[in-house]
Amino acid sequence: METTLIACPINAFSQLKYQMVLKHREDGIVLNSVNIMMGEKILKKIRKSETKKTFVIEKAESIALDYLVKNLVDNKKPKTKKKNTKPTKAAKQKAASDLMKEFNL
Amino acid sequence: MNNEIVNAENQSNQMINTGTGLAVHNSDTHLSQSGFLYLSGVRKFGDLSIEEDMARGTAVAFLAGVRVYNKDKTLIIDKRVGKGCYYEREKVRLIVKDELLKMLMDANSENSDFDVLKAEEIVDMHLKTAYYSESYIAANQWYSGLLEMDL
Repeated sequence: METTLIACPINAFSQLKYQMVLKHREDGIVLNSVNIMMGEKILKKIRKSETKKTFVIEKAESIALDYLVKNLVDNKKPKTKKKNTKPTKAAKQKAASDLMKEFNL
Repeated sequence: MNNEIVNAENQSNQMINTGTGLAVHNSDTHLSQSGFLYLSGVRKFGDLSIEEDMARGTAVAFLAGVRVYNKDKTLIIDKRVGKGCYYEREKVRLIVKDELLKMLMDANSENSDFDVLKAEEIVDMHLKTAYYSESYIAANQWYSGLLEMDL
């Protein structure tokens, strides 16, 4: 059967958001944490102890993006390696016997 | 590239890859950072299961290894291939054939009645069916179609 793949227009996923939590200190405003949110729910709270006295907004975006890339893109870890067993002589002997019976050899 | 598309075969997580004829479980695939999709596909050969490991990239597929399991899931053949071995169905078929014949010859090393040539012929024939049965069916249907058209 002929199969056709159709690439639809790209949609932005608006439910995924991030929120900055700032700490107002005597010496300035610093970043306390970045919340990764799905709708109203916080998926992950990334705590940061920024030492800079002036906080740069782009920093929060970069933290959020790094988290998403690490967890959504690179999270496909290789499957656990299968047991490194070797075929035994007895198993081969039995398989050969079964094969000979099956094919009338 | 339609024959490269993986089609859903049944309700389970198993797909038949039409390019290779392998039954591939979704859980047995892994997308590496290099962009290669590593997958293990299974093909039935009588009571035996042939599992082929491959790495699939854009317009290229490499064979990583072949394992054969007995009906009780016991590993009987484990053949690793070197890096850069292009995947071809016929190449895998010949690897399986050689390994099965080696196994049969080892098991019959003291049996003077064992006919290696006959064994090779029969194993070869059955392996061709296992690897190409769908192609044979398609060719037959195509030929029947030609006959009906009275060409």
